[in-house]
Amino acid sequence: MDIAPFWFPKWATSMTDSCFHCGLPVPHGTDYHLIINNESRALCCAGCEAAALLITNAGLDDYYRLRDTDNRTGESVLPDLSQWDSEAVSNYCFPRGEMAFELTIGIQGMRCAACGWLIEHLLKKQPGVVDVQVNAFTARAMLTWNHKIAKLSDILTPLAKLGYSPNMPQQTDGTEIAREKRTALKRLAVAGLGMMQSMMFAEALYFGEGSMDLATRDFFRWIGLLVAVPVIFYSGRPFLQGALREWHARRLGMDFLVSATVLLAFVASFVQTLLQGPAVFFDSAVMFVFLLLLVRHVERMIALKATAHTAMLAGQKSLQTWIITTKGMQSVSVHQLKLGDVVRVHPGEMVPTDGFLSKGIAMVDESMLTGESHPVVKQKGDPLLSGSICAGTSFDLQVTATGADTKLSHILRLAERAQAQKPRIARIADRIASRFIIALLIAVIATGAFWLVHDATRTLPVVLSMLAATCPCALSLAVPSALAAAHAALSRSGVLVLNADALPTLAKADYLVLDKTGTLTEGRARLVEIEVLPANNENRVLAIAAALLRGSAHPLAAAFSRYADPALTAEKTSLVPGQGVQGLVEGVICRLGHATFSNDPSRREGFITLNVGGDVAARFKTHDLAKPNAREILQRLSADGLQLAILSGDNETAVDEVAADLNIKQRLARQSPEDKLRFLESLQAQRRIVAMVGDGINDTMVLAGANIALVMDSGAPSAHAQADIILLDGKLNGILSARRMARRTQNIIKQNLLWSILYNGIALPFAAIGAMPPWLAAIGMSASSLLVTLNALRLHSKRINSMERKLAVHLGPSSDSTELSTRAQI
Amino acid sequence: MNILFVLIPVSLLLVAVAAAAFFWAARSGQFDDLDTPAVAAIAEEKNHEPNAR
Repeated sequence: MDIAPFWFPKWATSMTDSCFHCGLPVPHGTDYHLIINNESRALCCAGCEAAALLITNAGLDDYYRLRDTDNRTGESVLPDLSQWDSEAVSNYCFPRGEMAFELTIGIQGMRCAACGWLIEHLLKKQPGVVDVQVNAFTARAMLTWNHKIAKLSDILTPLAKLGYSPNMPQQTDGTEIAREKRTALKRLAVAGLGMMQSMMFAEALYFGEGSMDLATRDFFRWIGLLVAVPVIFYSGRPFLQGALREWHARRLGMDFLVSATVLLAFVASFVQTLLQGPAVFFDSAVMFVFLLLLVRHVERMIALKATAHTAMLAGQKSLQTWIITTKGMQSVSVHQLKLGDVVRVHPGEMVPTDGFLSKGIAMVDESMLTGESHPVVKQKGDPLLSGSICAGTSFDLQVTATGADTKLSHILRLAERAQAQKPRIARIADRIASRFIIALLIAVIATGAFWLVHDATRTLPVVLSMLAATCPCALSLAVPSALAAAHAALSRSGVLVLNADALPTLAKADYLVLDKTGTLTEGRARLVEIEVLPANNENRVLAIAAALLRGSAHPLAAAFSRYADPALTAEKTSLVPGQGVQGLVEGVICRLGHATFSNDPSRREGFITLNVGGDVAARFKTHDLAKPNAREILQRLSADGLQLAILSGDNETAVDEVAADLNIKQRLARQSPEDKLRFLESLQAQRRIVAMVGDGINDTMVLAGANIALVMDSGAPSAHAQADIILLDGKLNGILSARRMARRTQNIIKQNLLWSILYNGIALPFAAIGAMPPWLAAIGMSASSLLVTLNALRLHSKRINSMERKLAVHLGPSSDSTELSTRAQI
Repeated sequence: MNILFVLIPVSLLLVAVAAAAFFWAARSGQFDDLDTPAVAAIAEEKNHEPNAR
């Protein structure tokens, strides 16, 4: 094993290998190996082995040398790519010459630049591909291919095999970020060049003090002025605009202080130049602008990377939706929708495109669009907005807008909305800064008055130094920079943080409540036992059950889908959370669910009952596997100080099975959403901070009530709307990564706040007594801000993150994750 | 020392040219993706071997 320290005993390492491809622990008793880069490597499953084989056979082993994140687990079951050959997609393709087409696709799952390289080379080797250009930053690829030689779905198949999912990219994102980045770079360039020139001229003036003739001195001053103008008014424009905004909002903020300092220096120096006074300070002003711009740019880039990555990971799943056609209900991709199609939206699902309600009444939750949390009642003919969620029974909508007019992903919308928020601790820091600035201005005026009386020549430099040295830039950067770096780092591991307060709260959490189905288990239930009551036909009861569950977000739907009969459909289906599903099949009311829900007098543990027209027709038992590695992950979480509990709507036997498998003592079965909420509230009454992990519609209420909500990305949109953190690929170790990162972030934030307060405290007296010339003050303040930002970047350090991941596999969990524990896990 | 009155403006002109060049580079997207080309340059070499697979 190359990743365990050399002194680590071999017998211990062999028990806890990690998969070379995806990083998850290798389960006991499996034996997947492959020779990669001339060394035999262990893999965790058939999917990863197939993916690694694909990569090595294409001669692309280098990828493993170059990557800096782990891969997604390889796919052993391929998704359906045939929709890529459809008409709808060809609308987005540009013809290039006679036989080739060009299309820009988004690729989900690209975690680093090496992935981009791998994808580019892999695609280039596919027959029919003319050219591929991959941009890892925006996660897009421009593909040109000859459609006479190969179909698009064939070309994209190897991508899917490796676990990357191709999708249609949002047309708007990426370009705005690029434009913003370019403008920022232009401003930096002007400021940087201007600063260098300005310093040279200022140096001449300093050295020539007293011995320079007036004409030359004035010349240098005017040139200094000339250079300062574009720097202050072009490069410094963000600060000036910010100051104006703060002025209108009647709040004293950082931008105001910075602008005031810079403008004071500029105007005072201008006056001195005209009047041929003693000293000018153009260099200080310019330096101030440049250094501050630099720090802001670095911080902004980190934040942008976090946003872009989050948006990219979240935004672009190719959505499937149900349409009603003459052939019955069919599943199609959202891209294939045409005007006038009738879409059926089931409870908990999101309205995929704009349209109007074609019949009956519907209840929709428009909170993601309007912020209004109460469901809205819609009548026939009322417009329905893309992004709203079905809150009542299923309804049909007629499509009125398609393609680029519709926003496809609600998670993307949530991510965008979340970016605009500020965490509580940052708001507190802002308020402190605000008051500090007022105190500072008073101090500056007082000191200025003092010097005016005692030695008037030093007034201006002292005032400038005080303003520059004590600007609380570092304080207001302390928290946002740390959080942005943490969010960016987590998004690389597949954990999307949607709420700025999420990490600080998660670090303090001491209770973890987990849902069972879909969260701890795969959610892909299998049918294991059937009991058919006399006078019922087995195939028919299975078909009825399948019809009731078809298209619903219920995890059991997959278990029954293969028994579906296309001729048998269910109307007016409604899902009662925690109880079951009800609908009309061929005019008869049928119910499938818990014994009480289905009026079943006999309650066989572990079975759900099908009730057709008032009579019990059959009972079914399903089994749902726990997710791999769930046990280890939960153990680590428990060792990290979280008390665990499982809350499930399922019956006792099923819950006990899973709890025993995962070694969790506290569990409650048959919980309705209200029961779960009550449990949560009782914990909170004991002043516990509760984190909740769930995925389904019936978790929505509890997720809203928890201190911090983590949701699987496979869950219902209504659950996502309540999420603070989204776990991609349903990976449970995302919880562990998030918790560890949260702890580290808290440390960094504390360090940052301490440093910025300390620095301001020390610099102020020095500046007041005149011991600090303005240029030194400018450098000092900028350096302290830079220090804070760089400290935050430690959270994003690739070396530490990947090292931590590998050590986390081998060594025991540590309560303070910045310390390397050497306890071996036996 | 009077030569300074010529030299300084000339140097400022050069700075302006440099800034214009930077602006051109930024506008044409040279700085958009700094990660992928870095990786591509390193990894490219191994692939030139004749690939019999």
